[in-house]
Amino acid sequence: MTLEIRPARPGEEGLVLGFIRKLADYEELLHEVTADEADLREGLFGPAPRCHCDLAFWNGAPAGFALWFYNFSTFAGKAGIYLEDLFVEPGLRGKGIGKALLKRLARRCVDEGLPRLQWWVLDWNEPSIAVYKSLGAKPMDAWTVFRVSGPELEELAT
Amino acid sequence: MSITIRTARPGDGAILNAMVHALAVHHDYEAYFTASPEDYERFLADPHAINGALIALWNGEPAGCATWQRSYSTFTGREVLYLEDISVLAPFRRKGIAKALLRAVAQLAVARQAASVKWLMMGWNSDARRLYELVGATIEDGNCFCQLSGDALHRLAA
Repeated sequence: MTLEIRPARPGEEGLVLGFIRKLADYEELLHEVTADEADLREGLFGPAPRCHCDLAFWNGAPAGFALWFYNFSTFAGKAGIYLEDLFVEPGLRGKGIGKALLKRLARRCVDEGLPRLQWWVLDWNEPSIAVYKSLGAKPMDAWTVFRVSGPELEELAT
Repeated sequence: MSITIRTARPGDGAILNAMVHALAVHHDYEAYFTASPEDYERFLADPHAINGALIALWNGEPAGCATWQRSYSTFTGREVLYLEDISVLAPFRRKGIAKALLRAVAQLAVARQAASVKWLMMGWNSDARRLYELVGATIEDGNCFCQLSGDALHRLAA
């Protein structure tokens, strides 16, 4: 039983998109996924990559992924890592794959001198929240997320 | 009496640092504020920076700022502009400066072809909440923001 984690390579956009869709489905948000393989190719491997992806393989089979990018804290004056998506195939849960993906990002933060690893979780996702708390992550309860997009964004921009 | 908004440039590190520090104090987060003007100068001088800032001037005098960073939505496969801070110095409040900054951030997002602008607000900040709803923002309920830092980050990285 072996676990391998490595960066996604050009040509694996379909695999990454499949994981994104499975995660969205678990979150009951599949209807919001409009990204296609070309978008991911541009985001991950284009001339100015916007994000990074680690893939996990269990006995050689694709098992999960972590998609992340760098962010910046104006309070700390330092960059950090923001984890956008984390997913493990339902049949392969309980083997420590999610923790290994998180650990790899924590290792990267420490190696690169970055003080924080941050992410969001849906508040009904108790199993994940329990895992995150067990790893020492703190929920930042006092914060509310706002978003402006679509017609409201266009209107505000004018 | 006029508001102008301009892009922050090298040399603006000290004023930006002071304005974000004022925001940290206002939010009772001063203990977490360790950034220096040099940290700001570093990204202001970096042509490949993932973040930047806008400065609002009231009759030519620095009155407020918005700091932003590049983010990414895997669901849409497009950039999201993340608004990290919006700060208006106390003597310049209630002049429409925050709204002008939000509009400039929306214009920047549209120019960068970002699908949306996203930000966090502390739950108690009802004045800010009214403004955000006024400009068309929606509140994303059901999210929980997690952070791993300090000892917990090092423990997971080990």
